[in-house]
Amino acid sequence: MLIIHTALHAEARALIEFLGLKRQHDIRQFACFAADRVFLIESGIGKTDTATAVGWAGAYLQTQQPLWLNVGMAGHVDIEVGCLRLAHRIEDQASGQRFYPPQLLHPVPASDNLITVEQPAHEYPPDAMVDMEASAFIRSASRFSSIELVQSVKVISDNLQHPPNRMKAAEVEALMSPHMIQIDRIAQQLLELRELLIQENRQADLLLERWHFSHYQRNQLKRLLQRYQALNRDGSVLDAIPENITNSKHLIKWLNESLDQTTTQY
Amino acid sequence: MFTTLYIEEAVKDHPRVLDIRKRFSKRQIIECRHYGELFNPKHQNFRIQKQQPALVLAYKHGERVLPAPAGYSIGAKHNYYFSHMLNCIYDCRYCFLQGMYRSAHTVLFVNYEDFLHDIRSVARRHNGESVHFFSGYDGDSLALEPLSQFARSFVPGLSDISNAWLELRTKSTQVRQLLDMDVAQQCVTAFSFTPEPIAKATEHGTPNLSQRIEAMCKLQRRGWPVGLRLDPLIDCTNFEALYRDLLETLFRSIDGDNIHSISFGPFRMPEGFFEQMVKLYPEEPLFAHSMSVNEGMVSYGLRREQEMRELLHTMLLDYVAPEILFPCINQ
Repeated sequence: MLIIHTALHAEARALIEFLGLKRQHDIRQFACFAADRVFLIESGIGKTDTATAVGWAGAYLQTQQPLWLNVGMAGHVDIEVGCLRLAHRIEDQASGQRFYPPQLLHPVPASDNLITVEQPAHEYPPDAMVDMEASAFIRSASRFSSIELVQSVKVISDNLQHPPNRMKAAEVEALMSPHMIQIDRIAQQLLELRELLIQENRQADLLLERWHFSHYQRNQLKRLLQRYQALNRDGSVLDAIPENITNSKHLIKWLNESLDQTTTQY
Repeated sequence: MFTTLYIEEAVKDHPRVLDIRKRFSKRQIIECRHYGELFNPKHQNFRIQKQQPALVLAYKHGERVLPAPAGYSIGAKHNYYFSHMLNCIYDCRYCFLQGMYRSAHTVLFVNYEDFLHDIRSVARRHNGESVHFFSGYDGDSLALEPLSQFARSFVPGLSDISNAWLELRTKSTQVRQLLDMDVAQQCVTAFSFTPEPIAKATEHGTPNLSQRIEAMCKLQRRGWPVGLRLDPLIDCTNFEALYRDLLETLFRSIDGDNIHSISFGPFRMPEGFFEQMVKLYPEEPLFAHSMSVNEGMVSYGLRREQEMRELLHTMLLDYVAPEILFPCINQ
């Protein structure tokens, strides 16, 4: 699952079109758009709205370790308007707290520091992009996912030569649109890494449906099945369960005994 | 090897840092206030980060030289370890680092001179008695040598501490720096081995068996003291055959009469680390093996451990004198 956060609808429009997202009219708290395994939420400007929206989306979607992308505009003293940058260090100006989203992509995309400010800034810091959401985004989203899966992607909207002004929605969209393929590539690479974290066990699901297991037994079963699969790579446990196993207790006992007799062969 | 370099602001002008940062482009370098800002937070995943770990250059404050755990001696009464590096460029599935640290980034503490100062103080405290200092607990001592210049800087610095012995523990083949230096008789380069099929399955990214043996032989021929570390011993159906093969292969090339020490001990792990490792790699056969928990340590069980140690001890006596054998025992 990929969850995209933007502050403004104008920042989201190109993504909505590129990813074929549909407005979720049954959701009233925030403007949300979705398609298969992708969810986009618009929070409004600033840290408070961002933290609220991210917290709400995490709780609403209940997904194991989703990938979170904050996509939006940022200013920078001298990076050309329209360039895309990944944030490799995000600093909350008010608290001084810093976050370091690990840089795990190949090829490494251009990246920069990012400072999140409370109010629109009149001066640019010498070595960082400036926005109003990213620190709240990363702080909230990393409650739901490992920090490798929480990244902020910014398109430069203004610099010293082109000071910030009230951009029209169409202008924002025009700046975002050229980067859709690259943003999608970043998301796909991170989703591949996410697979390392997700351990779905279809066999466990089938057995949990077949017999009643207490909470403790469920956890026992899951680990025993992982061990069984690790030691019997070619064999399905479902084929190996003897016919005289009639309940969860018998199954766990049988798995324990089978595993005690199995050793690794190198 | 590394695509991102983090540098603590306090060491950004350190000569070692200036040298290392030359190998990175400006856009790959990120400054941080303290390595802990990125190394320690919760909600990190070691397994994902291990796909593309970063290098972090930092300053080691506080206690730099610590007493080594009991039961891991190679002959001295006083044993200490120090960690100029946290984490390792290799990815050995049995390694406790993946259970101990939240981050897979490699931290290199560049203030080697402070480590040497502290080693000197500890050695002075045990005046007249040999003191062993182990450098490879929290990372491979030599694997990063071309970048870190650790051995090149560190080994000569120990030469005037008459009672200090240094162990460099490695799976690497990075011995060129040592070969170019004067031999230090109190510096033992200890090479770790597991049988080749186990190494292929569990020691990801390491040089193969013959490359390691070759590196060890080069040092031995040049007169450097070398050690063998068969630690951890990994249990398996064909345990005896695999370890017999390994010893035959090793002693076909290595001069058994000229080895400083051999230590060996079965796989064991603090329970908390083991649980974390299972969470990271639930599909790993190594962790699917039947294990016992005894006083907070996960192991193959006391009886099996004893069998494994005795078997190795007996096999090793075909090649070397008993005085250089040091079984690792939890105490």
